[in-house]
Amino acid sequence: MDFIVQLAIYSAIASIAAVSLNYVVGFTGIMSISHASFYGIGAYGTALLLTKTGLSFVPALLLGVLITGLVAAFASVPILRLREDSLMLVSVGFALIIHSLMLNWQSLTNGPRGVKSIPRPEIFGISLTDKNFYLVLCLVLLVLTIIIFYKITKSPYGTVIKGIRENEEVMKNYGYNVSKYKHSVFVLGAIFAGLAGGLFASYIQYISPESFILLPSVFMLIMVILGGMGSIGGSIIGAILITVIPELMRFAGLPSSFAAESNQIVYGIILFALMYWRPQGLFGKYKI
Amino acid sequence: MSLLQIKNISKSFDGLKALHNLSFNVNDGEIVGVIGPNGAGKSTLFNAIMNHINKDSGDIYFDGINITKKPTHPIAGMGIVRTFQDSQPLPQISVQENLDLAFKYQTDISLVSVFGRHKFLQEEQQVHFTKIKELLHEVGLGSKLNVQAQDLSYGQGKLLEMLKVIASDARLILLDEPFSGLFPEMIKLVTKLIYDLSASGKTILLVEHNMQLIEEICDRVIVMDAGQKIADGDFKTVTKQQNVIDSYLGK
Repeated sequence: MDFIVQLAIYSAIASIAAVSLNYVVGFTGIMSISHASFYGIGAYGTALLLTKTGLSFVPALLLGVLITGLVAAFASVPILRLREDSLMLVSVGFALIIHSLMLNWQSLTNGPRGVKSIPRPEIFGISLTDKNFYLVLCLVLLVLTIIIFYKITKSPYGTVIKGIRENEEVMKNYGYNVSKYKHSVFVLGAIFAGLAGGLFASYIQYISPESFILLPSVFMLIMVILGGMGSIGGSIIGAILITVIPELMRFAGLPSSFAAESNQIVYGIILFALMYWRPQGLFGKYKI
Repeated sequence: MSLLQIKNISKSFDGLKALHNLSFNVNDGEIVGVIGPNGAGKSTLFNAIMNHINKDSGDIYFDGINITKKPTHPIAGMGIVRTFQDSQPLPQISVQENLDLAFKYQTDISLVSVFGRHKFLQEEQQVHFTKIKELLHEVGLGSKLNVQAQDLSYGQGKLLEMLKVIASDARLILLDEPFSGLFPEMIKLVTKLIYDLSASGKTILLVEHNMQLIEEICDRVIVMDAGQKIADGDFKTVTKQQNVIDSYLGK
């Protein structure tokens, strides 16, 4: 049971990250591979505020999210000046810079040793050291995330960002300030990635730069592509599948030395299969 | 009164002069045809007006305001809209959404407005929806409301582009070969839409190769060759000019 609750917590956190990434990539067409960096900034921000300043969980999480949003607002200026392949490459560059800062800014991040003993939250006097309570917190925040993104994407604002995904020049031609919309989408997506990161840090109680290298960004992208571009429900299914598959692999009877890395082979095969047979993903309407 | 003034516009691509000291005016309410051989600079002219490309020199005025260096979206916001040679509906969204985006919202749609004044936006969208249904019904696309634009035929895509122009309520409309690839019935329909736009006071700049349609629709014709204006006047006069016959019409 404990194991299932833990998987549910990881799935809920991954779902928040995947839904927010789908908002950026699937709904708006900003092909960024830096989402795990914002996830990491949220995780580090929350963890450092909890361990170094003695702030309680809620203000630490909110400040962590705010810091993520501010970094995203600055980073979006150079990243969003570019488009398509160039944007993707520069977002990879951003991810490498953030990882390097986590690794080398030792006075702040503790370098490769990471941040240890991150306290579990206490909200309104209820200690969330119990995994069941933590799961409830994650699910509440996931539902809030779904409501917010559902409301945005179903509104006229959502129609505008989908139009931007389809053709920026045509949208400019009809009077839309494409740059303004893309910046606001990028920052809001990053804010929710930061929220997921803060939840992850407080749950796992130890974070290191290795958790936020480029690969997790790719995994998040696979969650979105698997579930379906432009589908909030699809993102959640994708996040659950990508979280659960490695755990199921442990029961597949593979040699332990191989089993640890075998999930990446499965992800690779999933990507191949999707691109050849179902480029819109399981529940998506839009092709990359 | 001139709604659009083009003053000495020049633009070169790698030394090739796409526009060369081009100047002309378009009066309020006119339908002006722009003709010329391929590569004459007609589409480049549209790109220059909308600032899709940077100009090397010259100025463009719309309604007396210099728009030469303004970004595309405020130019469109002032009341200019263009179509593209290859029709460009937004493919992976519905016909309804395509038209909805072409309408000018009274509200500046921001995230704040989504959460703060969502109901107001929905009411505005509802008004658009009624107009969208009317527009689609008028051109026989009433059943295509929820179809993705990529599933329309080429001709239907061209019609959708025209409906988006109507929905935009722009004062100056730049139409880049709206009849190309259309069969006769569709041509009649697009012609009617252009007449309707003109009757409602819109000013139209029309790039087209079909001389019969240019003669039928346009009040005035500008002939371009190698980025320059070589003739400007009514159809009958310009098509008798020797330089127009030599460079474009042939004998």
